[in-house]
Amino acid sequence: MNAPSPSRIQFIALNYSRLQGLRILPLGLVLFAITLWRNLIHQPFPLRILPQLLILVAAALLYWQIDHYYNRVFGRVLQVPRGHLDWLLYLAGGALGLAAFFAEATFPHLPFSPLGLVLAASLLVDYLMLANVTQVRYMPLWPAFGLLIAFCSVLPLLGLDSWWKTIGAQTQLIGMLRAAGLIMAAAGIASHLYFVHMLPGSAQHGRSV
Amino acid sequence: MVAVFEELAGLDRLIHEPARLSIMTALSAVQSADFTFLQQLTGLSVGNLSNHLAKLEQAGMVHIEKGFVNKRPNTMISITAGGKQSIEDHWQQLEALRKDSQAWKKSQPE
Repeated sequence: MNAPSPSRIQFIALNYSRLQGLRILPLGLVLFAITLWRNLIHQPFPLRILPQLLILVAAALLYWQIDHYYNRVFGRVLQVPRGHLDWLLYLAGGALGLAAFFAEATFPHLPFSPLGLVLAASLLVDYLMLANVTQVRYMPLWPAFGLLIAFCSVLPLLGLDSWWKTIGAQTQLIGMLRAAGLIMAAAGIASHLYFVHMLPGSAQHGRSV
Repeated sequence: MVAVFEELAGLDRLIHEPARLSIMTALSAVQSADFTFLQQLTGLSVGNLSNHLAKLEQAGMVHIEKGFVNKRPNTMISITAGGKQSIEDHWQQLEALRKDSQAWKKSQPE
């Protein structure tokens, strides 16, 4: 048995729920799937709203299954309650996200995506909060996904006007949400694989995805 | 260097054992955790982990609570106040030892 180092043990224990990457998968899929239904906006009421409601219900069910899976296979942990600074950061992030969403909806021809930049910043801040616990050597993929979202956000500034049309979106906002959804889903799966790899018990019992 | 050996001899052997050190380090970072989590984290077998937990419980370092979750047996383990103090003292002792041995190495002629 290769016992993990004390710093790794402390890192996993302190960030247990954050490291469970699949938890972000439903959010990524919701963002991606809801933007696909955006084209139905001119349809009559039930057809316009029903698919989105179904997507939300499916995502909630998926999250419940993922929660059950993590608890059953990897165990339950009651974490130390978060500090005031954490809550303040979450609130500030949420407010910034809403402001960015409305800014982008109001000014659709901005040469960058404020919402994309806020999403990218939130992934990077989340990573820094993780890394701050011990050293910066864990979760190397997380900031890379944040940088990828940031890169998509500034594509018009780099000369790629209307890049969102290549992924079938009508506006930058929809394109950004669609791309962010896909990137978040990929980040979730990659983080999950990394999480499983970090646990010696998983390797020993041959448990993976 | 003699002081380093004396300090080594003074280490709490109950906690210093690698598996128990891993368990105590993990428990000191959370409010409580279940048996499956500790098994996944340490890579210990069921029997080994049970033995180590029993020893820690006997020494008053951890508190074990058996119950049911979704009709399945579930064992939650938490560190006691005494256990938390012991693991913190232990890490401080190890850190002091590390510094002492580094200082000793530097003082040796090449």
